[in-house]
Amino acid sequence: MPSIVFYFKVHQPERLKHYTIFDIGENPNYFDDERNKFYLDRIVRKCYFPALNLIYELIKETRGRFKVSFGATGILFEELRKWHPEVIELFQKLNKTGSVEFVGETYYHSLASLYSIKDFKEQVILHKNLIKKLFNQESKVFANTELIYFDELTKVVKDLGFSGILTEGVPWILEWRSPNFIYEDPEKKLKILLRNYKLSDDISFRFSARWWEEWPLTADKFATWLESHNGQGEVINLFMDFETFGEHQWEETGIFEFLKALPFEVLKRKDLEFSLPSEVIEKYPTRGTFSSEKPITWADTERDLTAWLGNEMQKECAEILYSLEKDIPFYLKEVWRKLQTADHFYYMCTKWFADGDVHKYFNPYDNPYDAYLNFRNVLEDLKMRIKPNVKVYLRN
Amino acid sequence: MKVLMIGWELPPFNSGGLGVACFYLAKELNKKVDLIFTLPQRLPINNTPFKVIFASDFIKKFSSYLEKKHFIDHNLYDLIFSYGPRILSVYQEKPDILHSHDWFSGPAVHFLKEYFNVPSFLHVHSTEIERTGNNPHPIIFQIEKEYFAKADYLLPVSDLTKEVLVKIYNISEEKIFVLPNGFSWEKNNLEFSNYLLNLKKEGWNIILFVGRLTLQKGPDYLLRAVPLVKKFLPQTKFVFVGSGDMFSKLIKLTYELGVQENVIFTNFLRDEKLYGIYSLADLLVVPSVADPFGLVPLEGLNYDVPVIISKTTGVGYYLNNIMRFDFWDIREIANKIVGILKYQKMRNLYLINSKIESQQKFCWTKTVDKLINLYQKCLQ
Repeated sequence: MPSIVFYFKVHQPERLKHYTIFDIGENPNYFDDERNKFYLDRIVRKCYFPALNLIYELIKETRGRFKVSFGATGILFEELRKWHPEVIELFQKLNKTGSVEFVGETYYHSLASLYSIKDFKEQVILHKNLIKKLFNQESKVFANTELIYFDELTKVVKDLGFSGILTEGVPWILEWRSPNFIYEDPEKKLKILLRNYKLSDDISFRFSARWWEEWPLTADKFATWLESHNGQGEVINLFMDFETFGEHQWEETGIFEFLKALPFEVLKRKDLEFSLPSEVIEKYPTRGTFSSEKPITWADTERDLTAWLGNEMQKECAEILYSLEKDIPFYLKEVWRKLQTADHFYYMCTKWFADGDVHKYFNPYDNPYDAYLNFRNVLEDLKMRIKPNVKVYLRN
Repeated sequence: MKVLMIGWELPPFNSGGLGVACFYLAKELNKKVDLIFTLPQRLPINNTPFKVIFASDFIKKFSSYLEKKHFIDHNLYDLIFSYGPRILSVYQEKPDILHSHDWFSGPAVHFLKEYFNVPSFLHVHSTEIERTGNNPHPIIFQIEKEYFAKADYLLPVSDLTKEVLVKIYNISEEKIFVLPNGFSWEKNNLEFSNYLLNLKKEGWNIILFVGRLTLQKGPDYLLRAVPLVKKFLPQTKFVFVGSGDMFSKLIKLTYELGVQENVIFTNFLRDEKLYGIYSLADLLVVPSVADPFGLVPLEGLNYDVPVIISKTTGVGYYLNNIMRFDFWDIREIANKIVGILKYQKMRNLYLINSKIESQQKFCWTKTVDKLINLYQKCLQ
């Protein structure tokens, strides 16, 4: 009886202001509240509000048998608290149904696990505390930024109190094996839930694609596909951006009707159920080892870090940013961490052509070089504020 | 297929990008169709890779008509309107297609179209509206309006120009096909200026402007950014290559801004000298108020100079890897100049990516294939 596990990534970055060389040393405000509120207003209206309300109704109507998990970042909750506290209340209302789980995340949606384990730990703890405070939940399963996973990380995550981790079911690691089972890392620290990229992308990418031979996708058809895994799998992990509902796939595509019908189509079939990540790692035994020494992610066709750290500009910015860690004073720590948000690096991505459309999504910049210039100017200012005696503008 | 192409100028007797574009277009087109290229007057041109005929044997000391935007004398007017009959006096064979360039060959192509009864294409490299910043010479504007409407098909070089044709000239969209210029990525010989070589040795940055010194090309906006850049990078020299009616105004402005130390005007340069300057520059700035296509950015990339352009430079519409600014946004121009000079890793990556993308997108073979396709469609 396969369990369907939904994980919705809920995140918005704090985008930067247009920050020029003239601002360096003059302007300590890096973030563009107006623009951030603009994007948040839109996404609340088009996605968060309708989708969360719908999920609440579905949980009620199925008497708790429809279950979903959220990976909501701390930085998102901060923005919601400022401009849309009603969405936090909605999350709390959902939480009370008992059919919702909040997965552990890095508070700032950062790449810290690759550069500073110390700060990574602190950010995860910050997020854990926030989830405890808002929802009185103890998160047991962890999802790193962009589902970054590498073997060495499992010990750190386990020490932080987690017993499971989500990541991508990378086909060339799995080879002939199926992502629809629980795996564990080579040192048996954590149980691993692998994203079924085929079925997840059927919803998040292909749902409205007219070139797709399966278009239009109905809940009935999708439930039949899920059902066909009966006997060949124990968990089917559907991980995607929450913005899939109403934003990546507009309301007009029928995505909400799909979501509305899906729980009933699934539950109609006696061999399917919905479960939460923390439930399936208890319920099912591990069926094998999943291992990757190099970091993998859920991004693009390469499933690697190249969208964030693929070119010289991205690497340089990350190196400069993390090199500031040892000197960063407490009053600048929050700003420094907000700059770690992966989106800032994503905007500098230059591998346009295959995956370009997705990268341009909600991107405030015309091109990756403008994104770099802006971020780099901010870094110069931050450097000055840490060491006010260094004249960064003296050339070399 | 026989194509009669009605031209106006060819290098080295050209005033700018038009002649260059015509030359490469004709050269490439000649490989695939039977091409005859006409010029209004005899010029000492030989060894062209395509056949050229001259509509008049009268050799006049060549002065560029294009530079004197606001001056149409009787001779020029006469030349434009007699161009068609003169072609007919030296060439009578019926072509399959007529292809002309910009307003000054509009009356000629119309005349020949009526005579031969074959489809006419008018290639629009720029419009008077764009050249003058919406302050057109009334006669030129009138000629454009009339002959754009009379041509069977218009070939603007960018979407920007297409928009102008639709909105301001009221041309129906159905007869407009955008045909982006190609570019010839061969490298030519270089001649270096000792003065600039010495500056480089002394550690100066060289920022380059190349284009006519006219309102359309926006040199004054770049000049106004000089004091802002100087604050951050005092050893930066701005080199303005070109001539034009704005020259004295720019000189005056240089003194008003107090940046004489940082600015040089070289006058109009071509070929080896121009390419030599490109290859010494650290950054090329194209602040055009309106530039339907703009070959200068591609020339810069050909000599490995990164380029930033205004949002109103047509070539930007085809490129992802290009940094753009509003031509009037002097602070942003300065921000980008300083950023590119300071952040070398970005400069290098930017240069490589924009060059690769441009080489993929702009080549004359592609342009000509597209053009022949259009010819065939229109003949059916």
